[in-house]
Amino acid sequence: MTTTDVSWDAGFEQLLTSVLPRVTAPLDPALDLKAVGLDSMATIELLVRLEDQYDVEIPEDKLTAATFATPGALWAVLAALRTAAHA
Amino acid sequence: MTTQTLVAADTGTDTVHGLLAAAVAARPDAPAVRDASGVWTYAELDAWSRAYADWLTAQGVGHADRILVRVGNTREFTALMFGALRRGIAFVPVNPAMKRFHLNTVVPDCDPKLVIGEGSQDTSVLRELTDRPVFELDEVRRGAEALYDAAPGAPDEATVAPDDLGLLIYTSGSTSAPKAVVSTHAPIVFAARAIQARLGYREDDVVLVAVPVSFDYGLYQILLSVIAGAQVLLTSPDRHVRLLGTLHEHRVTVVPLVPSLGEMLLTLARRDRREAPPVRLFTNTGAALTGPVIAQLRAAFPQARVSPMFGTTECKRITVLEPDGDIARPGSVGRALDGTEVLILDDDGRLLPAGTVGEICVRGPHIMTGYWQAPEQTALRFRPDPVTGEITLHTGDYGHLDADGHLYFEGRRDDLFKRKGVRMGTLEIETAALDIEGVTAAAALAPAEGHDLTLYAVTDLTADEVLAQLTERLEAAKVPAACHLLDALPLTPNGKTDKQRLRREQK
Repeated sequence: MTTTDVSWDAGFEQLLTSVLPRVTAPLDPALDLKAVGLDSMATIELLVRLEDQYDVEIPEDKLTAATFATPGALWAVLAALRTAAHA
Repeated sequence: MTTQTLVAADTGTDTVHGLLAAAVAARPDAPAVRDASGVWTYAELDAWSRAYADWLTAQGVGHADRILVRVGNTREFTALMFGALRRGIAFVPVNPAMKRFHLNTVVPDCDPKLVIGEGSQDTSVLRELTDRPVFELDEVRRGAEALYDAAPGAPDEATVAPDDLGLLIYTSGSTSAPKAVVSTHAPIVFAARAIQARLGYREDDVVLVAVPVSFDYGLYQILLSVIAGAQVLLTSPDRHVRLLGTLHEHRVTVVPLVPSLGEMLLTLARRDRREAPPVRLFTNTGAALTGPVIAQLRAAFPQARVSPMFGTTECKRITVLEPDGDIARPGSVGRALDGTEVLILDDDGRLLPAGTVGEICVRGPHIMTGYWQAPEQTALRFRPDPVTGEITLHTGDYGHLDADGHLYFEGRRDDLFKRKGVRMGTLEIETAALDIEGVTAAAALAPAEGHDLTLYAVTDLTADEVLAQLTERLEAAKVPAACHLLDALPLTPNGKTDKQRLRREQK
């Protein structure tokens, strides 16, 4: 696994590693989450916990396989929502 | 104890594609099947099934041949199924999630004339297992597209008889390699009509099929909907995260559930701020929804009624509890299908009285033919009466009937055991564990091979807390010797707890 300069916080990484026991920090932003155990049940758990932790609501049109494909993709969706919320 | 409900046998067509022909005649322009990429009317489903049939004929596949189809919940699956059946070709559905370990057995066992897989990765695995032609679904779709507008070939329906092979459905035995249940057209049609008579799908229903169509629970949703003239809405696991949106957008009214799907739906419903979607019926089979989950479903979907059911692929469906029948009879899975019989027998085949636990045995026109190329296993489960020759299906499941003929399932034979002199089943231990606040899933393994009774639980509590709370709920002999905590229970592709895997990990 490689580390890249990413803007996510420790809580994001903590949440992903807690939902996906096979994954350890530091996370590769391009990690294929499905391949490391993010099935439909885990995706829904992750969704609910992320919304709770960051106090955002991921809109219907972002509830796609692409959003949950990699940590990088997921953080991008989350970051955009947080920016919009604080704008 | 025996329960029997007699009705006049349904007359008319008794082939599976005959059901489609009737729907096409009655409602050609009504929506029949929808997936992520679009919708077909009944007339279009019929035309596509003919195009896929013509494609199969062009590949040299004919009457009594078998095709193995390993694709997910898509419209093409439905067209391929009806297309094969209308030519007398047996259709063998296999879950895309089936592991290589099982494919190794299944592919040579059914000896298909032709194999269809989902993508290139899938077909390369399948090619290693057979010398027969293997196609990607995209190739097959292009082939059918080229034939869609062409003049139809010779009429096909007349050549298929009710006792021709229709489906081979592989089930994973609890201890053995997967074996296929031989399903001819007549019992499939009988079972589908009898289930529909109890559940009453309507022509304005939209039926969500989120369970795999390769699983008979999913596959029969297509047949029930066709009988009713309803619309099937196919969705796949990578779209489960937007299930609530799907329910709203397509005004879904009927949702067949396995427990994992029920939990996902509830979690998503809790974050959904819209008015509850118009679901009017939840059905359940495969693995039972727990009481608390049923109660939460009713709270989250106030218009919905709940119908627990019980079945086995060997006769498709055994019992269906009428919608909301669980309120008066919690834990029951309902009465025998109309025109069929459920008997509770002891180990010597003697009839047991109401309230006594024994083997659940079944008679009726829905009993399938047996296991594919497995005469010993067939003889064990499908036992002819020495005088009348009538087949009694011995399911290997245990339960009891109440005085009115409602069935209560207790467990597989392996799940019933004696410990410290007390007779018990894993189900009652799991039920007690789920009664503990904070335990969201539980599986108990009976004592075996040097291991005592063990509980696996999904919870934020500690193992000691779980065992302490179980001690308050169960007599001492029934409290497991050990409790292990898991993030999630391992599930089979059909959504049942994978006890074989728990057992392997225990070793």
